[in-house]
Amino acid sequence: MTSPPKANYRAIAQLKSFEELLERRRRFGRVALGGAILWFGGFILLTCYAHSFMGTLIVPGLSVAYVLGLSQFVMVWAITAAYLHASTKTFEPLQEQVVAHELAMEPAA
Amino acid sequence: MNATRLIFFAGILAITIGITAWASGRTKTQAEFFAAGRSITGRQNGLAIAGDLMSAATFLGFTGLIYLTGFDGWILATAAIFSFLLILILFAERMRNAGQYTIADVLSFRLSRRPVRAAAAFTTLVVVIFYLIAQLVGAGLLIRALTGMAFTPAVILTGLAMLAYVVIGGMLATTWVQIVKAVLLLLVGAAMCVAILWKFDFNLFSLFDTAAGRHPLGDRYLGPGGSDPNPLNTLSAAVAYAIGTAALPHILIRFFTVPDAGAARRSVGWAVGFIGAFFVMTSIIGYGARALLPAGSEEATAGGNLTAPLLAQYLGGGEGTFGGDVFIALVSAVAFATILAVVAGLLLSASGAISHDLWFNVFRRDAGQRDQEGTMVARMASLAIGVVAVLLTIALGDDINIALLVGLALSIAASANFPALVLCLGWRRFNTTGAVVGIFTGLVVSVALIILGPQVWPGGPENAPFQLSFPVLVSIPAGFLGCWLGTVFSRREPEDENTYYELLVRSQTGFGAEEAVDH
Repeated sequence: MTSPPKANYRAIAQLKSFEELLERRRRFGRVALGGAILWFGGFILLTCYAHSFMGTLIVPGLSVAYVLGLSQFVMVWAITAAYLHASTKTFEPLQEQVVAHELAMEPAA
Repeated sequence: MNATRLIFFAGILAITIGITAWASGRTKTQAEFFAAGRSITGRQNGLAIAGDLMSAATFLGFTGLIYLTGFDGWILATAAIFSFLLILILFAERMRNAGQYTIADVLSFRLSRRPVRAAAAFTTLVVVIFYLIAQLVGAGLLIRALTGMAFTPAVILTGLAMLAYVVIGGMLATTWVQIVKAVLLLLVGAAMCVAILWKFDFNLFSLFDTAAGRHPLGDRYLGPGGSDPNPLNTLSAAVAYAIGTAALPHILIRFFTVPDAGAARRSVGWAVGFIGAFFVMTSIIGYGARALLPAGSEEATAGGNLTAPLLAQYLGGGEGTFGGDVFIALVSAVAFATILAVVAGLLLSASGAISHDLWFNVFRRDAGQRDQEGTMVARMASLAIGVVAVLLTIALGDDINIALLVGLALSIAASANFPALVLCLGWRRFNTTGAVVGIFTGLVVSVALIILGPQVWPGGPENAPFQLSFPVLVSIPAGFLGCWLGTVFSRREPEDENTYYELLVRSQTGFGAEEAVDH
């Protein structure tokens, strides 16, 4: 499937638009994953070690644990939505710029 | 056997066999067999991924655990949904852009092909076989409990259906069986939730309050700590689910079935919507069972696994009534469909590892890969693994611990596959030796610690040298360490770094990604 590289990938990797794409994707990944790991990790640690705090009832029937557990789902939904949004708005246009460059640099087959 | 249940089970089999017959005419090339011709849309793939996660272990297992122990039963659901952030941000689009049919494709893209492919294919097989046996044991137990059929014929029946879907209908049939089952399960779950909440005037808190009042733990039933006294066990189980799920071969290969990276990422969007909704429903069903089922029903739930079917029977009017009979038959049949769909996806990913990775890229590398031969080998590989898995399941029998097998599979995926995949996509210096050492370190350490752990150790759980059931807190760092040590103590391979740029550009932009054609 991968015949010897046709394009000069190192050169493409040094394109301004590619560097920007990479930087923006990585920044999103760092912030989103970093935040998510903190929030989820905190929840799991509390679940393991702070039973009485997590078992506190906010109103009868509703524990802190359930609220924080539910917040994990909300967080995953929110970050996924933000990623899909950033992809259409930011990543895709940059990606198209890079691919346009790549095609221009490709030797005629 | 109960006639209503028989009709519902037969109905499920008829629908899925119909799908397989339809798909068989569209499954000729390898891209069709392994990747459904890359024709699945983002939403369809999202439903199919959701189907992979909404297995018997989550639908029956989580609801049962919540019924028995309260909040502890729900922790793994939050860990499994979290893993989708890892899938979305680290893997989904890159898998689609860089791979062809298997996760070994992605690893061997920039690393020396044969050793890495062999290592990745080997761990894929180990993970899939354990997971497959776990699901087949679950199928046998469930069908026995629901219909009275004996364990061995139940496993054989499940195995035959699984083989039919995969061998005849390939990925297309597997995907549509998964989609149909995901829709059914979501509808049944939603109907159960509405029926439960109806009884509490749609007041969720009063449902939880009633549930707590009927459990010996009282209000502590709504908080954590109801099951395991060792917090490190809870922690390691959560880590195994959060990271292991993101590295499961049968989930990652789903991203090869869509036309492009955009569809891959949208399929994660749909998947987290469906899975999240479903996991929230499991909490309502689990607590609902506690609030509604008559006191002393624990025995009848067979370790919790039959909680959801029993609750359905209660909601339909109770045992012996027509409504109760139909409801329990419906929920049982959907649970049966769940197992069929999940085992089919597992079998397909194993067949890719044998046929595409081992046969065509390791053993017969020079033979040149003709497509017809490829599909034929893939079908034969599926048949062989399927038969082996069924025989192993029957040999191991019905008292093997399902949670142990699932934990083993998730731990190996998290320790062997995850570090190599992450580093391959993100570390320029990473090389072949590092990948092979890392994969085998993760594999060996996780298997060794499971054997030394309380579930397997022959000297009894108290005397086990390693006190945790899930080894991931040690074995994932060991996998990363193996990758790092192997890399820094071996020769620099300039070629690895050149292809790093190729993989980087391709995985980031989709330029040159697989379009179902060979060069």
